[in-house]
Amino acid sequence: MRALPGLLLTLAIGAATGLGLTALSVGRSMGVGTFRIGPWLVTPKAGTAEADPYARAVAARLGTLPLALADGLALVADQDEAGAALDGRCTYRFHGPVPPARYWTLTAAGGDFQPVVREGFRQGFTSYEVVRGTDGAAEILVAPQARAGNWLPSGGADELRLVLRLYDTAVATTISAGTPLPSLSKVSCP
Amino acid sequence: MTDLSPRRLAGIGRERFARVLGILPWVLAGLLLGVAVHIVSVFALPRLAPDDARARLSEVATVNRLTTLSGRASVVLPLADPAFETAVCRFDLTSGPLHVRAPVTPHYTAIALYTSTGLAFGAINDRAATRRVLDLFVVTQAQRREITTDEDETAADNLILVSPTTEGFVLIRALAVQPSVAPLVRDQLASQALCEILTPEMAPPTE
Repeated sequence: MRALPGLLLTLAIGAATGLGLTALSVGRSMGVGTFRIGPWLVTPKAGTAEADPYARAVAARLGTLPLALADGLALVADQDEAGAALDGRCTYRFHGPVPPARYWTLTAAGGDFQPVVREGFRQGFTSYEVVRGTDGAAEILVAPQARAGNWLPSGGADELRLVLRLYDTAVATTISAGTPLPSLSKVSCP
Repeated sequence: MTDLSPRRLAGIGRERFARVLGILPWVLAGLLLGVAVHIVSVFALPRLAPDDARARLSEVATVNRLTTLSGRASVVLPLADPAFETAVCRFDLTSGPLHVRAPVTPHYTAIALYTSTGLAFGAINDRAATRRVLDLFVVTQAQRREITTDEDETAADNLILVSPTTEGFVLIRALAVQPSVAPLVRDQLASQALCEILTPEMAPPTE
């Protein structure tokens, strides 16, 4: 192969794979410091000065300031218990042990982390206002249509993310793959 | 010219093989270049992203002054918790240390500090408060050396945090546990929270 076409081929492959890898890893918020616990994704170091380059790039692309670790820890669910991508048209059940924290909140967001419902509608639950079952555990139903009990509207958007934020929690520094987290099961789909 | 003898076919095969072998180094070089491009672009993103927190906040907040983002927090900063009332302060420490004050709201208040590229370098919450307010001083490395307190520093009850950069952001966030208390928390934040540069005479009080 002659030099010029070869060089062009090299440059094309380099640009495509390099930028493609970046778009893929940053777009899906998957860097070296991110790990999955069931349906939840967590990047514990994102809120510290030791945040890895992927976490920094994700924050910059979203235009947000990550939750500082001494403040709290954010867990993002992009799939259900069974590994299927979250769909705003389906109904999901959030249930089970939330790690010890002074307060926690569960909010619904779209694929771009923008709110899924209009202002005035419920965007999330705080640990203070959630009604608990007899076992003390919180059960929240995430659904496009109103449900009895703790109903978190999901707006019917096809791409859905659920964000569980734990405030003032020791789990922020100790979280690992074995940490018990709430389950997120699919109840029904239209 | 349709000579399809086995020998001829083998010749074509060898030719193809040689051509593929010729491309291979260029492909490998391309993949190596790809890895380099990936690493460089990930590192460059925080500096190059046009719509990052710095850009979003410079539109709404003035330097060294506190701005309350009543209800707009999740619009200005995606992924901000809608249950929180937020006040933001862009700081520039060139003219002196920064004094940050947050009221202790009924449920939960936190002050978080970020560099201008959005790296969290410190945070405290109301658990650290001994009074009805949470006071914090943000200084540069050089300013830290200048603050020579005669007395025991812990007795002064002042929290001093060293900022790795001269510019950055302070977020004061207060939880409204249910929508009905949001106006109350918002008012408390607007009337009692503070973000100001200290003049030399006003150096961190030591008592």
